Amino acid sequence: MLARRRDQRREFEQAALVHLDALYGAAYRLARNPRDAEDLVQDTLLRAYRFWETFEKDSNCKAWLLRILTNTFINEYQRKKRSREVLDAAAAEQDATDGVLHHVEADTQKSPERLLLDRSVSDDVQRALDALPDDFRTAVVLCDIEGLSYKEIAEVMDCPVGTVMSRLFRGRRLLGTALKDFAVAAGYVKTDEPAPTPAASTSASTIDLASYRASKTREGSR
Amino acid sequence: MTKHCDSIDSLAMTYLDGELADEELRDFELHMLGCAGCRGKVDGEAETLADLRRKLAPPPAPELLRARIARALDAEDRKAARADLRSRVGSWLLPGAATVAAAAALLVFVAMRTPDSAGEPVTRIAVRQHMRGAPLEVTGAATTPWIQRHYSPEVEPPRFADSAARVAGARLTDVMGRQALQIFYDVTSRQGGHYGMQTFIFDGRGVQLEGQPLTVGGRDLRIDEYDGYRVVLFRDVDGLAYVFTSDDLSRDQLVDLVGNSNLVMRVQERWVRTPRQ
Repeated sequence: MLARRRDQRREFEQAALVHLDALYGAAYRLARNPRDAEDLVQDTLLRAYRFWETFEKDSNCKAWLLRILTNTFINEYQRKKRSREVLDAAAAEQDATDGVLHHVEADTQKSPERLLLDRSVSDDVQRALDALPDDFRTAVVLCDIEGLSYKEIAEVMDCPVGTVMSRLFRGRRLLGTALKDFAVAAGYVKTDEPAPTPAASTSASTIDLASYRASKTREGSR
Repeated sequence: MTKHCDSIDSLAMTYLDGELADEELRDFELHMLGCAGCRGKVDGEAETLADLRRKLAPPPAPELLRARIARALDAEDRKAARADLRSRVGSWLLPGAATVAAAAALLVFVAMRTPDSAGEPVTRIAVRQHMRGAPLEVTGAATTPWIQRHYSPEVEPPRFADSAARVAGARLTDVMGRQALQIFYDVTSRQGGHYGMQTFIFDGRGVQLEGQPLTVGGRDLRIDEYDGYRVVLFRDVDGLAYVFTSDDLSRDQLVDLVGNSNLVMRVQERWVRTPRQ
């Protein structure tokens, strides 16, 4: 038993722990702070270790780990986050009555220099990501940070490839718009044209590729 | 205007992600040769995407996280080993009438060993903290200065003969309501085996150190055990308590290690200094 356990540990370290940076990167962008990200990675790896025997050794270990991570995140951390938000809201209300609440509106009244000092670009990225729906954010993290293919993302998220494409497309659009808005608010980018509303531009485009592919299929079958 | 131009937004993304099928890719590249509009769109999207990916790049995992996960896996291994042992012991006991008597004896034993938490023995408190796998607050060479800044300038991690045990890191904790220091060691045996050991240091005045008494090098140690862990306890002349815990070193190895630590030296130094006060 002990020898078997030792072999299993060694195997797990060689196959799974090498993805620690990748797991932490995804957790860092999914969770709201580094502490939650570390907890999420530890939970993920412990869970993976407990179920190591069920993992098919010739399949994609990184995708398998990311699947455990995203499921753990959605099932547990989001629930915790929601309960914390209730507390945060209560605290914010308390702060407001104490006169220390910082509104977004109040931010825009500060000088651009002050804002640049207050908030780094990386904070903006995290804020923009946090504002995305979970599914969009997960798709963007898996593709643009982890470099997974559409097919791998579909397996991790347990949805069709077409859904991955539309989540990715809309997630990136929303992110781009949000980052541009922050930049404009901070005064280091000027607006030349109003950004198109994401919902209008994205829903049309996602249907487009599907119809493009459908038309190709029809051509092929003729 | 072709169907490529109509679908350019999603086509550009799929193209840049390298996800167009062979035939689609050929068609689209052919189309772009003759369509400046789509070429411009793809270039623009490529730039936006590269910028987004640059901004999204997360930092690497912190070194402390690596150590913390290794400890969590160690704890998982120990739990599995104990469960395995229990199931084997259980299968010996199951048949036969002696089981009931043995179970009753076990119950009495457990009841006797479960005092209220306020009077909980030091051994158990230390072992439970060892098991918990809490995150380190400092690692490596920075540990001693950190201890002297955050715990006490008088305290340093015990050192062991032949550098057999290396300080991995430390954290602050609590033992019986007293602030305590928890130091993590990586131990290498002469045969090259690797072991884990922790040392708890706290104000041990008035605290009962349980276990069998054993005199090593003129010092009084206590040797104890709890839940598969070997424990050595020691109190120095200033009343500072040292509790050494390990689940993989044998009792003799742990006694040998502590017996060859610099604690003896420190006791002697203090004896020399005392008359001046």
